[in-house]
Amino acid sequence: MPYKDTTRVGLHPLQIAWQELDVPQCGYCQAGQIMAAAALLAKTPSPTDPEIDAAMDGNLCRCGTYLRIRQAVHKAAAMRHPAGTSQPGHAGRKVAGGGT
Amino acid sequence: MAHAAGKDLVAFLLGLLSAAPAPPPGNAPANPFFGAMNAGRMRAALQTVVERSGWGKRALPKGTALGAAFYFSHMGYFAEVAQVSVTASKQVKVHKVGVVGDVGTPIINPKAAESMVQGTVIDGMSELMAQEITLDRGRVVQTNYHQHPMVRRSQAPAEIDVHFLQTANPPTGLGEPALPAVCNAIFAATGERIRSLPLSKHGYRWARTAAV
Repeated sequence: MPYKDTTRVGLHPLQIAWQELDVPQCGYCQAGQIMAAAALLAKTPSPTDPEIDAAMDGNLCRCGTYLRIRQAVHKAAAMRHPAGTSQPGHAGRKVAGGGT
Repeated sequence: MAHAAGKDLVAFLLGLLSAAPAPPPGNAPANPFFGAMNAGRMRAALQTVVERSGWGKRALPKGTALGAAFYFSHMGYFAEVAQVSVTASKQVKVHKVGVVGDVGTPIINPKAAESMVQGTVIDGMSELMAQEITLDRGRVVQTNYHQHPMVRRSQAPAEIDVHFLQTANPPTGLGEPALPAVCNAIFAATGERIRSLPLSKHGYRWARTAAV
């Protein structure tokens, strides 16, 4: 399940994308943003921008990190479905379906 | 004022900045966080953002226009162009914002600087549209964010392009350079001049993306 994965292992694609893109500013909203994003990706593995907006519109961010959040969601989605290439550090974590 | 003068907004602003008196020689303020604006640096920032945005060079659909503005914040120089569309029912969409900043060099944390500028554009939009604190019989009227709304992700611009000029000036503060270029764009798109904020008082609302 997404929650168990993110807290125990720290290698969820969203967490990696969040770090690589330096998404947070103050960090106050980010736990909610990541959880909402994880729930979205569980249902919609390759979301469009309007789908991201619809799923995450309830998560406000006063620091205005929305643009990087969107980029990170796309990046995480691409990591999980990398179109045939394997990603370093993700050996054995390719998700066929279910799980995260 | 540009409109009254019959001039293009950017040409008018650049003209004002050119006409400003040159700073006295040796203008390195003893206190880097306080001092007068250097019009030449602001002109360079404005000129760069205008070029990057294609001001005056792009045909825009009806109801869409560009606005420009500049702001001197914590000794940093910021200029912005916003591309905004307005529907007949006064729904406003900020599509893209370009910002050019001159905060000297080195910028210690460029990613943080970029994040700061992007964030403050969005925060500025929140204040612009629907944020104000009013008093009634000594009490603040607004009790929570439903009466002081923040921009949501579906209302935020799709792109905020931030570019810092690498100038040989000592590093300064960055501040929160959220700028009023949106109101200039609304005027250019609709002919309605905004003279008081927030915009919601004048019947404006943010447009949202289709799925929301």
